[in-house]
Amino acid sequence: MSDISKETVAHYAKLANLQFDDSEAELLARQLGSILDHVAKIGELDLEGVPATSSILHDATAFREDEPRASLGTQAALQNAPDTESDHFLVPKVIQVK
Amino acid sequence: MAIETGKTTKEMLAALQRGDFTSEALTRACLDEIRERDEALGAFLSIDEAEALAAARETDRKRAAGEPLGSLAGVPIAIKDNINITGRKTTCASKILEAFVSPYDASVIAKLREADAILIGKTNMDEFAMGSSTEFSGLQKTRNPVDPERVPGGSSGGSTAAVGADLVPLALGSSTGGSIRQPAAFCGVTGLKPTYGRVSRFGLVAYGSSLDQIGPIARDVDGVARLFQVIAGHCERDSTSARVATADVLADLETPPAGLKVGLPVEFSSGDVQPEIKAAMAKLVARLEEAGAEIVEVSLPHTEYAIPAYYLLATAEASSNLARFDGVRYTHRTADAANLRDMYVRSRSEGFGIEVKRRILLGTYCLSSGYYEGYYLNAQRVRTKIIEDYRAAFAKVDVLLAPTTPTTAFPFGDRTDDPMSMYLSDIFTVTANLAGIPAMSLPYGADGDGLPIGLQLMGNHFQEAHLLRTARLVETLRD
Repeated sequence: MSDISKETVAHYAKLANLQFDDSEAELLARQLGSILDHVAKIGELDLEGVPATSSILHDATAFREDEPRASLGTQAALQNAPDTESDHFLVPKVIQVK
Repeated sequence: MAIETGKTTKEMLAALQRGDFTSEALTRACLDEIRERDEALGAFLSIDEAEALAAARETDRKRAAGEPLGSLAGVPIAIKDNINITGRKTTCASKILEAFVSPYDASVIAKLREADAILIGKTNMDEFAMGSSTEFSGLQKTRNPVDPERVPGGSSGGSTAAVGADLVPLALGSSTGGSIRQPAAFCGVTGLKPTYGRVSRFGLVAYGSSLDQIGPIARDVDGVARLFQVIAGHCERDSTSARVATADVLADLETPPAGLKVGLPVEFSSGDVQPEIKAAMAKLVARLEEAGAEIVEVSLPHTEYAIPAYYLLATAEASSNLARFDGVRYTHRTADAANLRDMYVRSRSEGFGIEVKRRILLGTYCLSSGYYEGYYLNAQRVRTKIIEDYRAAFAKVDVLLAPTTPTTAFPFGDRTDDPMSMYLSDIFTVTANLAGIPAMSLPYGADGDGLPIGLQLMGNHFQEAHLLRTARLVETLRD
């Protein structure tokens, strides 16, 4: 069984902007270990030189003429934001002044 | 006269055309059924009665005035709650989006409006489509319409339960790894995951962008074909949308394909498959042979690597796609955050449920420095091998036949504590998503407990017309 510690969970949680309490972290460490054991199966294959498929795209990149057209509009784009001011999203203060 | 809401789409369209009843009366009948029975079933997250009735009256008016009508005129349809409808909530069954109201229509919704379909409500799902039982909905429980002690499957469990319980004749679902076929099998209904790129994803909340596809759910193959015909086609707002013409899938639907060659992937019959599902497969194979089809054993040797590759790719894409839900633009924000970072972390940690967090964590892990090549890149290489397996198989046969699921619907709580056991319920469906091919599930009998058995047909890229004709043939070979 892959060894995933609570500290490892905390590290990746931080990268993902998530936080867990102790019991959640313990559970996730165990479950992540078991999932990683299963997915490690792909290591059995010799994949040297096999091209990677990132997407099943049937066409080349989709291009279109760069013509201005109507878009959603500022107020519609802001309508689901928890905090706004005029045409802006508001967030807590980023720069702390001492 | 009470209107039978369990009719097929074709029957409803004919009855509307004959004037047996109006769309308003039909829509009211569906709304009444939902009001009466959905409290126990839990298929719907929201209903828009006034808007649905107004749309129904409008199609009745057009019909009476002899104006042109769309191909689904007056027929009610349920929409999975990860597809945007202007002015209505799109919750993705997540607490983080519980208050989100969409400012625009998904392309499939615009197409449904053009077809004069009646949008009746939004259906429950596993949160952000991550799950195989709808138990990971952050908002409510959906029961299996055949056995209320069992799950409806997932993640489109609300949509398949609504159709299975005869509340509506049609529904839209979405599939990333099996989320249309698996719940369709569990609820005894028919569902299609189209070719990747066939149906626009514009307005579908993204989970695994290289895998996601919207698809139709109905009581029968004909209903699936009618809904597919409406939603398929190129969309300039989706850069992954294919510029491939969609054939008229209804034209030859009733004509069985001539010289049909059906492949049986040996890897899908090995391992633990419920004996009654194996028996259903054997029965159908025998009947297909009697009907003149040639049955050929084929091999898809990388099948056992599909679940690992799928969970690595889907979670990696999910960790990226769900980064946008951070308390800035999309409704839920934690109260009294100390600073910006604290606001991100607490808003996300409060809003997401455990399965979503688990997948974001796994995706972040396998994309991180040191693990990227071994996990993410190698999973993409496995994907190439799986695509090659299918290419070789489709050089020999027209369609592939397999069970949709290893078991029929399982009881609540059976797999929620063991993520791997839940993931393995998608073992027969994920390969079609990885390869981008169209695949469908249709009911074929029941097990000893009366639970529906679903069998799966898979076709080559963009061969939905052929796939649906084959499925229609299978339908005629049922008991």
